[in-house]
Amino acid sequence: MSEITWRTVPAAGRAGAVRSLLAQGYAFHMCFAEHGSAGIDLVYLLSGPQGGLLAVRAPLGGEGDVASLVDDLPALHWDEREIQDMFGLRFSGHPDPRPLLLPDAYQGSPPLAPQAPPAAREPWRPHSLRQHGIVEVPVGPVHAGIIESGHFLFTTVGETILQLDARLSWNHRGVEANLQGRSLDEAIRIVERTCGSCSAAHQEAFSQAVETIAGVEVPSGTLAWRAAILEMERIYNHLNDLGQLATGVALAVLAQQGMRLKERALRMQEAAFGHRYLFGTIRPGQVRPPKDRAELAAGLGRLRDDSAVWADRLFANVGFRDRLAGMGRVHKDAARSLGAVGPAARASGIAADVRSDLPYGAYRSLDLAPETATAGDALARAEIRRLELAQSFTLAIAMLQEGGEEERPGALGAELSGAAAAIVESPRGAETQFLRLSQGRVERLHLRSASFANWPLIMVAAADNPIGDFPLINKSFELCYACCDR
Amino acid sequence: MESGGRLIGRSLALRHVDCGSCNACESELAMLFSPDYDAQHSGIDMVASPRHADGLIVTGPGTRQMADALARTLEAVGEPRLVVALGDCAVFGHVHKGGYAAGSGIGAPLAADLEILGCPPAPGEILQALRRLMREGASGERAAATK
Repeated sequence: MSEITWRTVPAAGRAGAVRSLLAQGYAFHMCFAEHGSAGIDLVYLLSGPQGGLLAVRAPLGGEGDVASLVDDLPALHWDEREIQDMFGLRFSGHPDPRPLLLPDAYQGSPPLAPQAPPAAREPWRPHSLRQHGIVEVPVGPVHAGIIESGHFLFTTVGETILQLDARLSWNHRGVEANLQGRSLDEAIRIVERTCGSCSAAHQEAFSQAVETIAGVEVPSGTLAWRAAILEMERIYNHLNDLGQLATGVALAVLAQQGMRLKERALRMQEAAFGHRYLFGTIRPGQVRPPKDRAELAAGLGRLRDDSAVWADRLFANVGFRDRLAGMGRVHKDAARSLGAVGPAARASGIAADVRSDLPYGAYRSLDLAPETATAGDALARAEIRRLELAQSFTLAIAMLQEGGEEERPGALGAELSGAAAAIVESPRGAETQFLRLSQGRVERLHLRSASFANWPLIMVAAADNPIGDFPLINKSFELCYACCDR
Repeated sequence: MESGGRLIGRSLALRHVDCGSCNACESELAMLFSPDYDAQHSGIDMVASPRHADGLIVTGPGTRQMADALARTLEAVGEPRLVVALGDCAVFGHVHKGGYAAGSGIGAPLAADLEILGCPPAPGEILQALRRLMREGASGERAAATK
């Protein structure tokens, strides 16, 4: 499934090639750069209407200034900004060419094109609208709660947000440069720590890519247990995200009950898999077997029942519903155009879910129907999570029962060379990785997380809302900063 | 900080600063205030402003982009003040150590009064370490290594 069909086009033919594929029903997943035989190549990863990954490769042959494709494909506007930062290219015509990830103080060569001379970098400047009657409210990178670092500039008229400008990058650790030259064992320990909330999804995507390069079939019992782990990751995240909304609405008891449920999920994960956040559970060709799967399945059953009672009480609370209804709306057209993924996309009426669109592993034998809503507001995003919570419990328990200890395909990786991509549905949506190995070591790994895809939606959702609602709007997406910034 | 015990008396107010954490340390820090741990029962609180804080609790390897914000937040905490390095990344950089964008933790550069190891440290371990800090004052020792 994650094997790539490559198609090479001249740099000038990129727009035409991508445009014609989109018209044929292909879906865009990500755009990234890697070093080709002569200079830097741009790669556009798409999937066909019947599945199957297609990569359009455009060798730039030393050309450093290329036309932006944002007009054709708004979803790649942050991808192009990242490539500018990391490879020192320029996308002319990009509507917002400001730096995205690199630290302001960074002055060296582009980190992923170290042989290139240091690029003259534009400083990051806020999109400021200093006019009479407009008040600008800068917030962060340090916030008031226990939150990751990020900077927001709110341009307001009275209480209303006219425009939100976000500056992320504060969590940029240089993960992709750090991964270069690493063995598979070293690499996956970095990949799984790119984000503590979507760690299993990161491990799964990396493992699938390695397995595709190695050409091994992973036994169905292993795949079933992996699916159980991925669904457990979704469960504790959805519990957290709904609980955070209860906190944001100041429903103290329901918020504390939500945290209690999340703690139960984390303790179950530690008991069964040795880690509260599922680090070290999925590896190429392998899965960490649950310690006592009967006990785990029984525990999940009890947690499912108690979670349903809690969620029913939360959603029956008039204050909760009133507060979230109509807040932070994202219209379906905007969600589609910006390439929304995960619960945020589904809440805006887009039935996108990698588990059903491009099924992998144990999901291939399932016929999952994504939960969708049409309102596109904070309440719809919460409702999607509540519905998926029930679905994930059912799936996790079933997959635990289907899984089993089977012969492993053996150690992978020592001398592997080649490239593959993998797309996995993380708790926040499509997580995409491209991996190129050379002699068992990472030559290039590009990781585009669901949060990376969805951050631009928050700007759309925030506009025209009261500034006091922003914390709740933000929580209704509950995106990671760490897996966006890397 | 020798005066740690007297300084913080029977309560400890900390401001959290994320310097490139993967979010797992944040998650555990938040769980500290859930019913199973209830850190407020021990007099511990995470406060909204460094001006209200006895010190900082810092996560992540120390990203270059956060260096200035971290220094300014620390400066905003009145002296005497404490620094707690939370998690393997904050203590020694862990897998993100080095490179162009991340440091080797903030424990050494900020001369942390308490280093709590773990990837991530569990809420019970964090609570135990903070309670010991309140009881005994800062000794510069590392909390028990885990995992």
